Amino acid sequence: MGGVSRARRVAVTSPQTRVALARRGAAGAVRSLTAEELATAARVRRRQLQIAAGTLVGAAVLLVGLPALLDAWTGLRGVRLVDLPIAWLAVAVLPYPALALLAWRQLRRAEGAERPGTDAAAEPLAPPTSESTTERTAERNADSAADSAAEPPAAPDRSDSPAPRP
Amino acid sequence: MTPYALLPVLLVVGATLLIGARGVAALRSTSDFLVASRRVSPTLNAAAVSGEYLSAASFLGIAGLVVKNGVGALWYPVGFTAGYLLMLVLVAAPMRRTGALTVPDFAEARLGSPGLRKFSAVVVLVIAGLYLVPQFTAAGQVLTLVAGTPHWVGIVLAGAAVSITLALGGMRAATYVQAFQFVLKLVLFIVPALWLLIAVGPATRAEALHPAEYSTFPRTTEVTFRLDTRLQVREPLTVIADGRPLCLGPGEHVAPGDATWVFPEGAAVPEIAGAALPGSATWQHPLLDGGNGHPLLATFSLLVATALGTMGLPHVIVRFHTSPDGRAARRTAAITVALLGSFYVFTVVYGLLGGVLVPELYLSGATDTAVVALPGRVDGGSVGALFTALLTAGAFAAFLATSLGLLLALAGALAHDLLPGSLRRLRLTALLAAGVIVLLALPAVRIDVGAVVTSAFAVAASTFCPLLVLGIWWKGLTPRGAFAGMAVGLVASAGVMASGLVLRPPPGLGALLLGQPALFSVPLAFLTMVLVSLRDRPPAGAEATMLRLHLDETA
Repeated sequence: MGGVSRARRVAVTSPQTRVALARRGAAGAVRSLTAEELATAARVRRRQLQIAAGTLVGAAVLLVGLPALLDAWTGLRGVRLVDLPIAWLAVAVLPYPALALLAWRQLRRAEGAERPGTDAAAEPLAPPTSESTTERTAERNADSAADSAAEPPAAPDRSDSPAPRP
Repeated sequence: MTPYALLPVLLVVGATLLIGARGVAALRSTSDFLVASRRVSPTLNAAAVSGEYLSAASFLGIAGLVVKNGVGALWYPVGFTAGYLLMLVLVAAPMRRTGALTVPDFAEARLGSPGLRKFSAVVVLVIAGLYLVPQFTAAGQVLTLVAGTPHWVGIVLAGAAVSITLALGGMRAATYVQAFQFVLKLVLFIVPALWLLIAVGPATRAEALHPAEYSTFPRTTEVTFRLDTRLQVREPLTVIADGRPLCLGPGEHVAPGDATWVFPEGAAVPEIAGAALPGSATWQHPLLDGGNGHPLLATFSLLVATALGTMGLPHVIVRFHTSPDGRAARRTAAITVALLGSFYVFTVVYGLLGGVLVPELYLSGATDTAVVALPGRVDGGSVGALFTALLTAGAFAAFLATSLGLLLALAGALAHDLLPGSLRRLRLTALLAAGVIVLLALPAVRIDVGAVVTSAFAVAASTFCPLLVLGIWWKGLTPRGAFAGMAVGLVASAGVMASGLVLRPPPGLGALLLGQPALFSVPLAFLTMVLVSLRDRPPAGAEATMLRLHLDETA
């Protein structure tokens, strides 16, 4: 405790070392996951896939829809906003804030989905009655968690969820 | 111009060396390099990613393509930026959790196949080569413009600058050297853009927004052809060719490379196949037109290649490793989208002003010099010279950052993955690689920087993108499936583009598909990978290996 706030010393393994250890068949180098962790990972992966699909649809609207629109809508070519051709703005300026917005939304939702306790990473609230209800519950919980990420996390609306109230 | 125009280039090389050297010393004195790098914040790392990513193609190439092909070329930077969105969505966090520094590392970590690692390393060589050659060509062109030297001297000078920086150990993978490069490029791109917008005056600004077709020479125009150029002459025309009058009848004429022709005021501008006359209706159409008559397909193919290819670029992936964990890698990708957007949104200024102020570059073929040529056209005095110097410095910084990152990735693939054991000779390998790239760049005069860089993206999108996406999200991927898919993707992208160069098909759908194959090569690679994997058995524990990548390791 020399009074200087030195960072705690951390033991690190370089990725090359890890790869090299794995190559030598040193099974103990990486701890194998428990069944519970595997189940959690499977849930997180499924949720992340849904979130990714949403963002990919948004990206497709921008990257496929916008060129198609500019190609089809010939009437747009003469239209100007404060002397700037709208069709040029649509290529030169519009995509950047749109991409940044999609990235920001994706980041928030993806982080929400792996935050422990409030989301898909947690155990499902209801005992699995049937495959479909469990899935829907997990989905809904994850959705509300992602959408309310900016609000206090303690208030997800569960009134419509089939989960038994405590 | 005079050789003192090379001064900014020397300053950039010197500053890079200085910061690189100081950076390495600072890192050693604080703590272990890896622990230090574990504290790199996502914002700093995003700046470093952008610094390494913004190449000569971004700094010079896009504006040049706008002059040559029209406003539709502005889809290039959109794809370059969208690549990081897809990286964020599909690969950033899980990729970081594998601990893999390169795609060959990933191939081995996820699928446990040393053979696949070697094949991936070969693909790295193809991608890095396709990306590096146009960087050298562009740097050579700029040096030729500012120093007035012949073409080959420019390329050799560029190669020498890279080799010196490399040999003296500057520009290591230190994060803040790259972050400094980003800030430098951003300032050197935005400030001259704003100055240009103010200095050109209202008349030129209005002209840029209402471009008239460059159909007749508005003044006596001197054009130095970069290479042999086929001109379509409509009306009889007398030019001064290297000091002697030359009468051209209607029809096709070839202007030899390095010849200087003076076109008289008021004469009709000859047309060039595959390029759009600046200001014409085709030029103003906001879709990519390479003269093949299918602008929408060409735009889609470009976007598929750039948006999906970014995740497979060898010099970019290694940067994500400096993030401490998967979450930080994801934040890095998200911030990178915003940082790149703030740079690319200014390319339109150079493109539109270039179309109005230096349209004759359309004839000379030196469109990649449009950015650097603009200040001199606006202000013939010392202010214009100053901004030319600033832009030259920025372009050279862009060239250096990307080239060194790629050369190190290329040397790494050679020394680490293909011929293990020669790791100590990494720097020598990099120097040799630089020499080979210079030799390849010397005959590659006919290329557009932006367009050839996109072929590197097409190869990455057809090989590494399916490997990464399926490897991260699908437990059923097998080494054999990955190999088959990447092989098909490589042939369908690099092989098809090479055959297009040999066959030289007439303009049309065939030429478009041979020149920009991403539209079919990427789905083909995905399909092959899935089908072959389905007929195969995944390695034991594949599901656990894949699922681990989706667990937050900090929780």
